[in-house]
Amino acid sequence: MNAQDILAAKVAYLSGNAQTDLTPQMQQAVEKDDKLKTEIAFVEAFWQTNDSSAPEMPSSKLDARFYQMLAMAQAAQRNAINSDNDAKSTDGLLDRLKHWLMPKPALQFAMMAGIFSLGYFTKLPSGETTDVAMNNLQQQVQSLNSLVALSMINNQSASKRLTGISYTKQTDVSDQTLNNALLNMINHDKSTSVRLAALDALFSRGLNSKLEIDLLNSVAEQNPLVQIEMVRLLIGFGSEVAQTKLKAAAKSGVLDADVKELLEQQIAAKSQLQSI
Amino acid sequence: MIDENELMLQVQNGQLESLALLFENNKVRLFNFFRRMGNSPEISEDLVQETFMRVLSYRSTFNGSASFRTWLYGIARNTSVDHYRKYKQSLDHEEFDDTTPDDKSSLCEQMVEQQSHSLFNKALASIPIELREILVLSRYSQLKYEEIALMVNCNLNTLKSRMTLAVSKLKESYNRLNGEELT
Repeated sequence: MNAQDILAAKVAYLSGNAQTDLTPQMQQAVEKDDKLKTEIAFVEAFWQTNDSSAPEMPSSKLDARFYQMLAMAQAAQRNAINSDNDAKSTDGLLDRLKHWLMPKPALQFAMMAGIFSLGYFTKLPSGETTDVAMNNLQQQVQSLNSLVALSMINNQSASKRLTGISYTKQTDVSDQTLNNALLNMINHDKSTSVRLAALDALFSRGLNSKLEIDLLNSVAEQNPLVQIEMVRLLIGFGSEVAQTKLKAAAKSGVLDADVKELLEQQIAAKSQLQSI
Repeated sequence: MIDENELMLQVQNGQLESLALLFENNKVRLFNFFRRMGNSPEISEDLVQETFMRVLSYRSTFNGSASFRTWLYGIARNTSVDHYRKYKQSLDHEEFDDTTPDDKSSLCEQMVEQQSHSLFNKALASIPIELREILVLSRYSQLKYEEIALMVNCNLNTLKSRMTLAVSKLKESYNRLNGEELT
């Protein structure tokens, strides 16, 4: 047993990683070695000072920032739940309407006759059919939702921007103005939560090759949290090109070390799934 | 007694308000961890905020196999490393001064104690960051060797060697500073 071992044993005891202090043999060795004695005294002093001092306190700004972040996260959660509920109630309504319209064959015939008569006697604008009118109405609703989403996306408040992002889920997925706005948020928004929400929303609108390239080009500029989410989505849903480019990015050092590790894990997991 | 693991599982299940309790329970401890790592009070607050943001973002990865405190410090440590890599902070950073006078001791004793604290803190600030963090995590965050080894991604024996080296570097730095103070 040498001086280093004795010092290590003392540090382990002082730090709570060993149950017992130095053995009598170790104590004897310490007594005989002045240098070791000084070192033991030093570690004891380091571990035993400052215990009675009050810790330094952060300012009240920290509380304000945390609770603001928590409020935004809770608002985003409520919006997500409300969007899901709206979708469910719409489905339920349509199901009920279908059921009400299709009771029995004879009644069905009577209803169809009634509807055609109604159509004959009711003047539809510019000679349109019911289907076209419904489609037009749907498009108008989607356009309105797009307008609302766009106006909220540019708001100063991050929680309003998050609400705007949730509105995009009720719009036409091919709306390029919205897609570009979401991409812009991923690249430039000052809030990481907003960037992550925009990334999720953009992916849910469908990944095409142009979008894939735009996202790959922005990976290097992102913070580790956003990089992690991008890697997860691009490996999970992207093409082989995305995988190759991300590997190249990892090699060139633009990815954070943790992100690089996640990339390797995701690629390995994907290969395993594909080989099943 | 607050069960932090239980609170974190509640956050995971969507009860985000439970995060507030975890924040209140750990904010001072975390703030002091970042301060002891050599960050200014402002940066330390930023890092606490970033840590809790990551706790929220990564909440699905908490599985309760380690304590919440260990998991939290793992995230805090990564936040600190990311910040250090991004801004490449020099070792001449803000000195952490946690000295507060103890009413019970005499003025002379207080001054001696304060000087000792100050020297320890200066010495800690001057050793390499990878050695500083294991000393801070062990001495001030009171994490066990196994927990620290997991965080810094090394085996237990390597950690023990690093700990011995860290103590040795700390002592060298302390003696050098003490010699400078005396001259």
